[in-house]
Amino acid sequence: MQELVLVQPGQSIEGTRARELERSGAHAEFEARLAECGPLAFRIAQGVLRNAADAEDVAQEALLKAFRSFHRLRDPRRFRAWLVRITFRMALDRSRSAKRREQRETEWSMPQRRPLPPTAEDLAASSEFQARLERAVEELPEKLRLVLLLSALQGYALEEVSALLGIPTGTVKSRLFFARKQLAEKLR
Amino acid sequence: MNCHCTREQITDTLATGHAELTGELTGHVQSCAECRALYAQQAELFHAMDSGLSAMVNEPTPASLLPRVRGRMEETRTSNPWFYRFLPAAAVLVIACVIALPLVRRSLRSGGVQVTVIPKPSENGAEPRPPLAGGPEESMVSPATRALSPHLSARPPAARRPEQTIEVAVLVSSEESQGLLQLAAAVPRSPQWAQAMLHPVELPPSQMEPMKPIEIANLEVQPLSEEKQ
Repeated sequence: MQELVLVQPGQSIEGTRARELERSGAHAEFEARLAECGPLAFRIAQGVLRNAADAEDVAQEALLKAFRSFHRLRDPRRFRAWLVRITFRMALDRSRSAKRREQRETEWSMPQRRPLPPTAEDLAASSEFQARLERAVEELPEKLRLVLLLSALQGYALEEVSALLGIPTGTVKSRLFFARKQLAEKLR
Repeated sequence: MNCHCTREQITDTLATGHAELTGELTGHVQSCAECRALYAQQAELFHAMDSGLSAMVNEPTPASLLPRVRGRMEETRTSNPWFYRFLPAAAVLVIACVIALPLVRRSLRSGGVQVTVIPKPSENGAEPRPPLAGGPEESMVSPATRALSPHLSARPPAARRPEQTIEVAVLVSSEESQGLLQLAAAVPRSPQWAQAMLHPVELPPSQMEPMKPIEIANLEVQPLSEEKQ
């Protein structure tokens, strides 16, 4: 049976095929990285947004964005660092827009803030501390915040964070030091 | 080592991620009950902080994430709308239009009077006299005024548009032609010259040069033929 190929005007069949092959190669390569980098994207988004549903949405969008531009990536070894930055930036945007929306809705309806249902004393103390910690992390400068979140990821040593962000280990150490110090001062 | 220094160093040590104190600091903390209590409190704070951060970022990834991403990837691959391919070209076109529009408008606005200088034939009549574009009134207006004022151009007003280049043919002597060309080229760059030249300057009588009366030899004055009758 004869194979029919749809070709755009002004393009040769060879050119179209080469592009298709290139794209399918990039697709396969991306697919191979997806299993490893998907959870990383989700965790970073979760660290910023602290809401699993929102974090999943952001991780999905970030992975799709990375997929669409994957064939343009010059150095595939920098893929994880690239994905980390995309995800962090998108999560920050989502967090800011959610805050603005919340502020708008509060201004319009002025709802009464309901306290959390009382549970065991330890749990209450723990959730209160967690809320303060989340607020304090939110107030950190972006650079410090990203290093702090990546360092808190399980299985990521300082050297790996340094490789992920493309900055020297010393810089990672100093950023982590200032982040932890500022956090402790806010929580004291 | 005093207590103030010790407190700062305790925070710094814990902020670097080391839970154990070293050297002189350990000695002071062991001997001072207040600093010991502070160290215990700070160590607890940092521990809680680390636990909280770890809980924040190490939640298990939802099982639905990767299948959703794969599904969307497949969608993207199969439904690639044709107009996406033209988006970059369209964006470039729009940007080019945005950049070009003010330039075009500026060039239309700056279109003024274009003067063509026709050298007047010399007295001995060597050069032929070219035809004038605007008829007999053309020569009655001074060249500078004509160059500056589009209202005095040779074309009829109905055929002229306000933001168009107007061509004017001016008859001047051959000695003046170069100077007039330079003036016509310089005037559009300095609108204040044009304004100054269109408005006559009233000089005080002291600065005005006295003029001699015209002397015409062999002038014979005769009454008009109608008056004769």
